[in-house]
Amino acid sequence: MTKLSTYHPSVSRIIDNINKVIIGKEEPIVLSLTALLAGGHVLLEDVPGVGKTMLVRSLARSVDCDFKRIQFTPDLLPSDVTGVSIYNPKTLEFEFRPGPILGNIVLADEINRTSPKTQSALLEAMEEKNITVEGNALPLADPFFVMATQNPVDYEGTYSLPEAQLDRFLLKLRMGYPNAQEEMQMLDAVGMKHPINRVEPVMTKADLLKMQEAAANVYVAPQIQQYIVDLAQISRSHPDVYLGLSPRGSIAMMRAAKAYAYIHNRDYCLPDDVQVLAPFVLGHRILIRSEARYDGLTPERLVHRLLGAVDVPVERESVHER
Amino acid sequence: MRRKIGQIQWLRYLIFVCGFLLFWEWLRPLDQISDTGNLPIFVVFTAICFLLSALKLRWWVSFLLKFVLMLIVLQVFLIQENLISGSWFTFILTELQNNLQFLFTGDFVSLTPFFRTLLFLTLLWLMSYLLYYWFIVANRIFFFIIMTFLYIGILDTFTPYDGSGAIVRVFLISFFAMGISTFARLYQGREKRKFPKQVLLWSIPLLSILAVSAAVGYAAPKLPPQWADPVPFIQTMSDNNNENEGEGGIQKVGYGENDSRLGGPFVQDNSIAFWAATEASGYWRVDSKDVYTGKGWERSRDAEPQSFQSGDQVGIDLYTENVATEAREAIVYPSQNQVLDRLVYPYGVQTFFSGQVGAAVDSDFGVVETFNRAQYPDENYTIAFEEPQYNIDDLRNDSELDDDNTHYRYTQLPEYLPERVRELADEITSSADTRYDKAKAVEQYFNQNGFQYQTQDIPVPEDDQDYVDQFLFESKIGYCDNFSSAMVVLLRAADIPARWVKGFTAGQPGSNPSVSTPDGMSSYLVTNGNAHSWVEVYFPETGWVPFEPTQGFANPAEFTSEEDEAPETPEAETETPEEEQSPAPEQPEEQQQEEEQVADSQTDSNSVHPLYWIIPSAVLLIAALALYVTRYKWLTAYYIRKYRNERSEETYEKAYHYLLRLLAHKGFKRHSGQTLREYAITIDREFGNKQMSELTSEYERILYRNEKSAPAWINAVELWENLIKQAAS
Repeated sequence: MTKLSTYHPSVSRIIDNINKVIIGKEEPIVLSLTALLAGGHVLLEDVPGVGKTMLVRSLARSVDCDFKRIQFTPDLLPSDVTGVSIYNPKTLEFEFRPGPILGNIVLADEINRTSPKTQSALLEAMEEKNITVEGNALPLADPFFVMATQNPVDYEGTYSLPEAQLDRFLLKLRMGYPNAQEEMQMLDAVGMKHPINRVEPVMTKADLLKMQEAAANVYVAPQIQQYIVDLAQISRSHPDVYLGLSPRGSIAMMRAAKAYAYIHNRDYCLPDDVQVLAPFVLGHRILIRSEARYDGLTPERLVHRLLGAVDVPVERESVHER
Repeated sequence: MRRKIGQIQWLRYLIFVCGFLLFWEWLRPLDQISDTGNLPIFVVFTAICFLLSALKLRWWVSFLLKFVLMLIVLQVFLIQENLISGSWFTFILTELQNNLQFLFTGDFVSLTPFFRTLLFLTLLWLMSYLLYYWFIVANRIFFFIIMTFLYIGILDTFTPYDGSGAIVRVFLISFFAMGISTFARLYQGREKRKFPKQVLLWSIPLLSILAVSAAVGYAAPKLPPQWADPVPFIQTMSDNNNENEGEGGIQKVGYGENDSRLGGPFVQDNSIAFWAATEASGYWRVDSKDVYTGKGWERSRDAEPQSFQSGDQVGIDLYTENVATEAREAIVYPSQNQVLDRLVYPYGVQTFFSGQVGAAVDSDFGVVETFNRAQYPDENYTIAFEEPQYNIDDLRNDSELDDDNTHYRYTQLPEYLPERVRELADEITSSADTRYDKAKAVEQYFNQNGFQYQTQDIPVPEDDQDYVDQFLFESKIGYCDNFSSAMVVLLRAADIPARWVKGFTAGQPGSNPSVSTPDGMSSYLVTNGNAHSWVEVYFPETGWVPFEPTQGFANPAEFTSEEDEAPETPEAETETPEEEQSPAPEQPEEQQQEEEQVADSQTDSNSVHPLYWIIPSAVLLIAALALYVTRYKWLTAYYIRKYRNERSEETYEKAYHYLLRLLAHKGFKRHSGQTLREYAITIDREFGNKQMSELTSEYERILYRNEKSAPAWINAVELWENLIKQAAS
């Protein structure tokens, strides 16, 4: 991450702000921001207690968005997510009480604990950007950013997300433990009062929307598009791959690369952006053959191999017709 | 830091000196394998060139110095005109003009000594530069060492040059040079103050290993060669090999004086020289020589062939009208694979009949040269000859009153001929009264006194040794050249005029597969192995009478005696084929071909000389190779000049990509999955600065942002040049 570390000033402010709460962890922060600016969602897979919630909350506070949290449990119903109409005896009318999904930044905690029915309610909302409640289509808030977490350790009583659903997350991240020094700092910081309460917004919601727009306008050279396509193609024909990168994956790759370039204060994409993001964009979208998996092939290693196999475009002429 | 560089440089110069010594080994054999003379001057010239290269003068200063040096050498050697006078300039100009013309027409033999020397000096100059580059700049010495070993090996195998001393020297020098070079490489980046200690620590084991390995190598038993000598082997193996062309590479050996250095072993070569159909078998005469030098045979003057027509009397008179003769005829079918440019003829030759082939004769030496044999390789020729029968009584009763000229010319011996040869001659001939008996006594001498016919392990006389003396008193082994030369020298020492003759023996009876033998004739197959040399003794009233001193050979000439009707010496028929096979020497033949080859190229400039193709293509090939090997040197210089002032839209990209290529060539290859940014970081780490990253980020904008590159290039060109220079050094 250090090699591209000139950030866009606004992004820099956000990162500094979040760093008040989350010590270290620059990579997950930058990647979460990438997903936020690209208009995508993040799946965080990690053990409990590494700061997933803190990350999302501080992010929400920084950009002045409202933060909602859904704790997924096996008995959670779709309406617990979307909201429910309740009869108001005073007005003699059904009144809609919006569910947590109508917030800007939603933490969907332990998404794999709930039933597929409830999961799909959330995922559909993520994709469609609106929900249908009792026949009425309700638009979701803008910006809308879901950060779902899932716990990799106990699979007891979980409903793992199907591949089609995983595809809807732009990035899949891990938080990882802080190192000893960071953990010491963290204990220090928590001592008196939890730092989350000290986090103040550094920009308005409108600023965030502008940033999203700017990120979408980042220039992607034809060579880079070609590079992404080459990557997708090779992932589909690789012998160890059961299911390669979908076209939606290619689009996600490009969107993420744009946002990533924007974060690094560039208005054009580099192959480096693609390379850095590839493990997070591709990792959960590619299914490895079980034989290869038993041989110890992890998605990260596979992506690394794919990157090694695709020529980085270094000339204008290399934009070849296919 | 400065001092350390100096120390390393000092080591490099040591290696460079080794390079010069190695190159000296390249020059050493030249006087033996070519007609190059005055080698010390060339060596001195090379040494000065090397020195000038090492001094690192400005290029034009060293160029000027070398050029002046070259002119001085040329002046010393060749140019008659004074260096300062104006005619000197005209001389060079005309020389250059003429020689360039020769060069382009492929007429390499006509090149004047001046031009050859000029070319050779230029070559030495270039070599000094090349070796400077290899040894000091590139620090790659192994290739040259290997080439030196190959060179010595090839010369040792294919030419008379004896490389056994050279190979030991080359081994010592190159081992030492490589040891020092390894040390220099290891030492780079160490602390400077330890230098003297390090040198000591390194050089003592190096020198002792060198001494031990050289001593072991020298003392260890060596296997004899496992393969036959490759030269005749290759010639025999290749069917359509034109022998003369095949020897193109080394035919310059002993140019013009081919018998001037006799001695050394040879290997049997059974490739066909010619088929002959003849009514009377006998030796085929080709050439004779009159001056014995102490090392071999030369002519007292150059052969001056007079051309003659088919059917003319050739005028080779080897005997007087007192000799009884018999008219005979013979047809010679030369081998198509080996264009002999001499006509062979039997004793008593009168006329040649041949449709196409033009010829010229020097009747004094008995050399018949042809002009255009190469064009009619399968043209046979018919010879009418009067076969002589020498009467022994007449020979015995000969007046022995030679005319002064003949006597003087054919009794000459080198001034330094050892006295014991004369003493031996007196001893052998004292008991005989007549010239014939004396000659016979000498001829028979070799049969009785422990001489052995042998083709291997024949020594070459050292500088202070006489060829005949060595044979007579030391080695006592040899082949026809030894025997015949010894007999001539002994006869001359006994004041009897005699000369040395070359040719072929009668050959092996057989039937010619391509032509049927005419009635009354019998066919003989004459191979290169039948090449031979023998002796002719002068009898004023009879002429030149052949004698055969070589063991295992019998004189085919007919001798009659009134006392004894039977021929005193058996005729050729009694010669067993085995006998003839085994002792048939190849070396005279080989030399003869060389001589004829040269004669051909001199007289017949119409035919395309093989060198016409070989030399230019070899030069082109070498040039191309050199260009290819040094491509990044000159390409870099070229691109720096080109892109420095170029302002086109593509310049940045092209320049950047050339830089990538150059870096890849220097060992920093970007693998295809690596982004430019990552690559730039590795390069910067290597060079210890940030220039590559700067250049790359600009290039990224051009490439991935589609920016105009021309303005960016103006800013980046300096950066790029720095990087290129850094990468190229």
